[in-house]
Amino acid sequence: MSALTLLFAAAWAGSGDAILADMDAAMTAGRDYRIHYTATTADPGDSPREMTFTVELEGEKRLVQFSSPGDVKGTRVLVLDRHQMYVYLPAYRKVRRVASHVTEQGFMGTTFSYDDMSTSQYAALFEAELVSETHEVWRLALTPRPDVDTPYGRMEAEVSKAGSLPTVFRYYSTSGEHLKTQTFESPVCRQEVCLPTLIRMTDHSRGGAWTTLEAAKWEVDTGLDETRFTVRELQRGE
Amino acid sequence: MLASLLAAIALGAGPETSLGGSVSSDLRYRPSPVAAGSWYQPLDLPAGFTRNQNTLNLRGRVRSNGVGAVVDLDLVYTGFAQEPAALGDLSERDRLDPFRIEAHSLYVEARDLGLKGLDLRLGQQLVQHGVGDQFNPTNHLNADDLEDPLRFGDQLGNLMARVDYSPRGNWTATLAVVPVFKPALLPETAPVGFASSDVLPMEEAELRWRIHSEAALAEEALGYPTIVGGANPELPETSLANAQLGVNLGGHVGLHDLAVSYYRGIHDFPVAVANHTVSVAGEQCNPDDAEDCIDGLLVTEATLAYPHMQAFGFNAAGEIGLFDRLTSRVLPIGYRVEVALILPEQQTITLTQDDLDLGFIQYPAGEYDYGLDGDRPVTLSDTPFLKWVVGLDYSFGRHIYINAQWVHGLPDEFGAGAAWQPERWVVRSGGVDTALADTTRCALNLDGETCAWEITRPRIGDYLVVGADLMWGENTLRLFGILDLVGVAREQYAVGGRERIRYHALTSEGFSAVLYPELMRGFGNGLELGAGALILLGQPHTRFGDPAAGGTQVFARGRYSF
Repeated sequence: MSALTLLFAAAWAGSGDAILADMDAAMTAGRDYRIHYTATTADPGDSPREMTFTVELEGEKRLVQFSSPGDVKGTRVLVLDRHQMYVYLPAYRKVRRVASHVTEQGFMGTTFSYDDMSTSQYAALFEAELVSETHEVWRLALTPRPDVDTPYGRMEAEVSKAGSLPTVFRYYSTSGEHLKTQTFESPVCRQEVCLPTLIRMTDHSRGGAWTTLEAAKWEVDTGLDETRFTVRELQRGE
Repeated sequence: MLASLLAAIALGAGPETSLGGSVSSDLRYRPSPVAAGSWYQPLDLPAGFTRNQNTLNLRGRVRSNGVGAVVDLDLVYTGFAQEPAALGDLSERDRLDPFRIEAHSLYVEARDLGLKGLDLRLGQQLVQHGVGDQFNPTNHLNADDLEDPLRFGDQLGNLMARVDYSPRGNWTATLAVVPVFKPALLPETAPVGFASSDVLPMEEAELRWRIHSEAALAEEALGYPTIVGGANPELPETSLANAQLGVNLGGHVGLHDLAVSYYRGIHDFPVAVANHTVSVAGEQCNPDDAEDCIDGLLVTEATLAYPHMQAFGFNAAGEIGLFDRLTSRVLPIGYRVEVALILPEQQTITLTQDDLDLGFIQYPAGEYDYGLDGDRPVTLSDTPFLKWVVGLDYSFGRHIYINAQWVHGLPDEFGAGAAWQPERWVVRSGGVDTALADTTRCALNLDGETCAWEITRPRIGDYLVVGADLMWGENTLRLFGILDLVGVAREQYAVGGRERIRYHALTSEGFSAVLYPELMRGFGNGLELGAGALILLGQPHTRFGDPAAGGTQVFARGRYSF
């Protein structure tokens, strides 16, 4: 560990909220992103299934476009915030508003929920307490902020001291049941922006089913137009 | 154009191309025959395979520097050989293996056409307005495609020019012009409706009672029952006056999506405007009952026309936290509201006849004397009316999704006559139930009030539409149902005057429903398989028990998408 990292770590020690805010900032350091993912999902006893899609994101907004397999090809999902989502389904040739209750459903059959896919600012949702640390990571206990709807009862997060990127999230229900574990691996940095290029979500409530998201290609600060994240843009792709 | 477009897509020409589609198979079976018509005009639907269809869908797009073209075509092999008329027909491949092409989209487009956010689309396309699920009373620019009863809400592509302007993205104004009208595509079982010569379309009840009496007299006393020989829709002229126009302004306020719209054009379902009757002499007897004979038939041919209309629409969608104050465990419920105020053009009907020789009685050729002080009977009044869809949806955890809608008016229901306007309900069945002497008196006195009975239902029905998806793994069990909420009424003469007996939705007379369960499995690699049934319930005079709806079917289908 470098002296700079130690200095960085010492500055934040004892402030879970600050570590979490810094993690949010690190995960959204770019003005916008375009990430091409290959998602592989496996349920116990089933063969893994593969899906490819592109995510464009700017702050909380994201536009997801699926390119394979054929039964989801052409499907697009626009997330403006957790309460405003739209989907374009090629089979219906129509844009449809999706209410936030579907956020509990699996995102296109993966172990990620819509909430998992749409949450990018954890500090706005959770209060963080630093519970322990090692040379490499801070361990945080996250509890929902008062009067804020959160998809999980509580969370545990491990945040790398090198770059403030997350390494592990553990999600729990309000009754304390361990629902999911998300790991972040293989970070790649371009200039000041770093991105975990391999994310794995294991759903313990689904018999250990897992999905990996592998960033096959990604771009940052692409100069996405503000109109990219609009219903009109979904309609344009009809 | 199509060939070059597909070639360009295949070669990957241009900076942005895409090609996709699917191959699907659809097999359906009607397990029981559906009885319709009389022995002298049998229109039964036989049991057996009703669909044996293979479809190739191709979707492609080419786009370069803001301009491009889109194609979305189905090549449909219908799977039933056409009945050969001669041995030579067996040498014609297109008779033995008939196919058709459906163009959902075939248009060119230009984005940011001289102005940021100004887009133009020109060609065959679908313009889908309305937030309702499958039922969209504010969506009029494309005609309804009812060919496949499993695909509620399908629309036919139509050539139009569409301009969208969306300067900042949140709000979009759309103007669409459809130069040439296209009517709704009806299911192949629609002609079974010819069996219902008693379904009189005119609004004047006294006139209907009189016609019921006269028809009964002609059948019972003179041996001349009435049948519908055919119906001839007349499309509007392809004039500028018949071009359709639609405007829509949609966007969101806070977390709610809102839109207002206006449409001026033509309703895509026809109404009767003329009826000509001829007598066809010829004695024949029921093959199953030699005592049941007729001397001939009164054959009526209907002429149908498509009425002009205007529609003002309003749409809203979003979510509401009904239980936010009670608990955070219940997430906001999705809602959608779609309302159309429709101003129809009045339609009247002309009843004419050739010289009718019914043996004992002859009627001279000419126009029927309606007894309406010189007016013709009205089949569609110009009274404005409303159609709407109000829906809620919710997910219970990750495995159950439920969507419920109150639909006031199905696509083919048109004209003033809601549940609370019983005087404007439409006839579903009618006749007389009096002795021949009384029927004769009614017919000769030109007053059928004391003889005729009718079963009526709202012209604009109310339906509860509920869909539930039960999901586990890659499997989905979809349970979909439609329940007619109003039922029917029987109107007849009783001592002191006409009486009206209501049969509500849960009575055997008034019950009418659709059940549509389907089990689907996705295999994660583009392959999907499904099997289910479309179950139509109700008496023949009800909305879904009507034989013209096609009866119950079971199906199995599969699709590979690429």
